[in-house]
Amino acid sequence: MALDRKLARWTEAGLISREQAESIRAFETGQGKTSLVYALAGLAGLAMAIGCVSIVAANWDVVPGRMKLGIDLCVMAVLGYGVVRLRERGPGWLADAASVVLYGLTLASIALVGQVYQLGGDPVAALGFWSLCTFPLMSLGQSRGIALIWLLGLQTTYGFALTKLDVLHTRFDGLALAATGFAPLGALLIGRSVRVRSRRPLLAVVAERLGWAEWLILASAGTLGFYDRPSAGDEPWFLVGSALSFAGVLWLARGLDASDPGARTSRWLLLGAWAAAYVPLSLPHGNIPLAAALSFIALWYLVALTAYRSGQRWTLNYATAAIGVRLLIVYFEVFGSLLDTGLGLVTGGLLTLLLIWLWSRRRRAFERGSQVLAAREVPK
Amino acid sequence: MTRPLSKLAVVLPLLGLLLLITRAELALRANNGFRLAITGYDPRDLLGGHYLEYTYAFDWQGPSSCGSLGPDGHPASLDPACCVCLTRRGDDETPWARQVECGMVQGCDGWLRSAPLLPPSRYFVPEQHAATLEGLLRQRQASVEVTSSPDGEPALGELWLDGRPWRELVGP
Repeated sequence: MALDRKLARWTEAGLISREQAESIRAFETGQGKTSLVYALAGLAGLAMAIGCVSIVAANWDVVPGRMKLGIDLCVMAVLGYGVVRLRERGPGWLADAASVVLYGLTLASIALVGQVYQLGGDPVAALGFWSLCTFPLMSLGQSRGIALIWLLGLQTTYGFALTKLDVLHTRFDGLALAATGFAPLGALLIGRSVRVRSRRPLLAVVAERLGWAEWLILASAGTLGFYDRPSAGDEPWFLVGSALSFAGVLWLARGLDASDPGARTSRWLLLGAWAAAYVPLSLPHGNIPLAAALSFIALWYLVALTAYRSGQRWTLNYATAAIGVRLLIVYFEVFGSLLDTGLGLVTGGLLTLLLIWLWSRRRRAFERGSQVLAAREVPK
Repeated sequence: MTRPLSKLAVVLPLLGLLLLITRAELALRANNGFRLAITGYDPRDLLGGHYLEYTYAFDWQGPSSCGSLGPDGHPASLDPACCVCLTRRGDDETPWARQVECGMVQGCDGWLRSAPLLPPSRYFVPEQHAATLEGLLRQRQASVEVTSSPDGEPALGELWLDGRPWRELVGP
């Protein structure tokens, strides 16, 4: 619908001919259908994979354990054969759906072995083995859905490994805390890798988006450290982990195109997010709600600025909403003594006015920029 | 290029699974099984998902030399850096246990690393019998068949309740 309206507007303005409008409509509709098929197939595959795990978890007693394993191996072999055939002959969406089912079934089968032989269940070992065995299978995926499922699976394994590091020795609490940031940075590194971008462009796109989303969530959560910081932040290993993540940030920032204004701001966003994620946890301080609010708003202002310079309207809207919600929370936080409430309301009001003023200026410029961009992108 | 890679991609999970099964089968056939007494880990809630959560109730006898020791000279708790040395008594009796350094297990009838024995341990049970088994574990003397791999990893076999396999008590 939105596309139809835009095409009609552009045709009326004489920017494109009727034939060009039809061509664009046909192309976009086809793209939409393919994406929908891949998305639905991925969803069906994921549902079946989770179903397999659930059936194993039920530990159905009627079939003896070794027979269950035999049946499981046969199903895996048949499914594997199907994946190979589908990868050769297509359709691609079905190959991806079958791969997702095999991915889930492999995890369920590892759990089944643990169940039949009462292996006790070390989730880290099981997830690590699963990720290792299914690495080539998932690396052959062709859709965004399978890439997302794979990356989340790898990150889940990593997350469990971090909890193990925490349990192994309390000295490593700090390292485990700091290493949480390695997951989004790893996704960003995959997304920015020239090799991955050339060979698996969809995987690169998904990894980069996931990495950014997680990096911002982590940074936003880090600002809560100004309220109360965990004791793990005092440990030397936390500093080691923070330094490593800073090195990763510098590496990523170095690879961004300096001539692109959006990429230039992205560098500041990467660094700003690192500061928001790690500084409140590493510096000793008391409860400073205002610092928490200001660091959050500064972070999301950088997000909005990056979105604005890259022409990402949706991200700009989300960033605006995030700042608005945070300001709302500030209003609730300031209710205390009369002096606190007064100062808090005045500060909150000033911040809100400042934000509205900045936004109204930027927004007009953004709208102008978007129109120029849209006019430039119209096929001749 | 794609064909060999996609073949490898689907064969690898199968091979991995076969490896796990072979390892587990070999551990079970090691013929050094012991029946170790167990008790529920948390008396208020013995069932976690579809598994029983338990802790080993070792019959500590003889001098232990590793980990923190209680006033009676027996281990106050399992120490993940130590090993449990088992001395066989009879087929139906739980073995005597000592906690020793892992380098001093030569004279033991069997030995297990302490780390994987740390509570809570899990015994997977069928969904439909889980609640019944939880009740039985409270009322009966429970033990579990444990064999030890060459590197001291425990492999679990049958769950026994009052000296009988649990399936005999639960029924069909």
